[in-house]
Amino acid sequence: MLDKIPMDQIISPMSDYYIFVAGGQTPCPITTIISYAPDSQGVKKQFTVYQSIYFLRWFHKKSTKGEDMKSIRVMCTIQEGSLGYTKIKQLESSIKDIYQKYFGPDYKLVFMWLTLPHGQAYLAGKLSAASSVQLPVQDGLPASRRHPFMSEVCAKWQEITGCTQDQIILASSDFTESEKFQRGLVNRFKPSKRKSTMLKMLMRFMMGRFKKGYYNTSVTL
Amino acid sequence: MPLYTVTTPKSLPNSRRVELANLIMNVHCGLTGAPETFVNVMFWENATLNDGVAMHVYGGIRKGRTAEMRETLQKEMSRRICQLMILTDKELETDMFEMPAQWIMEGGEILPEPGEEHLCEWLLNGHGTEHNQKAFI
Repeated sequence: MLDKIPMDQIISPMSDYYIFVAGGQTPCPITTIISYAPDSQGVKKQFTVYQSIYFLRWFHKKSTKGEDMKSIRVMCTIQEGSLGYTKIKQLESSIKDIYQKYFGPDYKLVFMWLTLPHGQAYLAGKLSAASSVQLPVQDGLPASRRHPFMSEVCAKWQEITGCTQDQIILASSDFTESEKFQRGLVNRFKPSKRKSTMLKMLMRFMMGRFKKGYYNTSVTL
Repeated sequence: MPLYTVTTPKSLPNSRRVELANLIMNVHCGLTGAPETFVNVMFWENATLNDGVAMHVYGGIRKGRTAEMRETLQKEMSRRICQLMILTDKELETDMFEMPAQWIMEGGEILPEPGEEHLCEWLLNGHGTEHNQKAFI
């Protein structure tokens, strides 16, 4: 099963393309996901992942409420324990509102929160307290539209989290370049393990959502 | 920016992470002239890298430098990291990704293009010197 899924679909789990190939009909297998165990091996493990892909399809259809929505993956890297549920949901809601205000209502933002354990992020050679956000925008967007959008996102982040302006780093790159950057990150993994690594991360994002209410996992794989 | 992502199969001791973060900062700034306050280093651990590879370093850097500079940066970065971590050439993989400075906002301002940092008022006023760093052991 895993070999039949192209890499594009695994690294963009929320895209329509991924959902299309996952295909099939099945009820929401929440119990299957909960039963996923890291020590599962062989057939049982593959079966579990397969069921989870069906869940993604179900979840995506349910959450987009239409076929014209464009999913934007927003990668937020934050220090472990720095933001709680309320602030994270406020950030998700506010940034979505800003995005749709600037670029229209047809965009659905999917936030993926990566947490950095203490001691795993440095700025200028010292421990960093900064968060970084990758929030891609349409290709070729002129600076006259891109920069006001970025300023508003950063200002809102500061307002909600109470951080200083130095503690938020925002990258609003073109969609295409953002995907290339993400692909570069995936390519560091051993080719034969890329799919399983991405699926493992995906599962952890989803488990994080069940546990905390938003997609999250640690950078420690 | 730059944002260097260091990935290893096993966890590194804190002291090694600090050494490596400082080395990356020194090499990057020494060659490019970029301010130290721009240099982010992040550590991912427990990853399955290519056979025989003990460390992968992925550098997201600002676009606008020459191809020669980029090549020099990558080679020197590899050489110095291998020295520090006692790795062979084959045990370290490096890759670079360039992104326009105009797409990045730090300190509430759009990043200056490479070489134009001296024109950047917010940077000269001490961006990042205190507020975004934790006191370290």
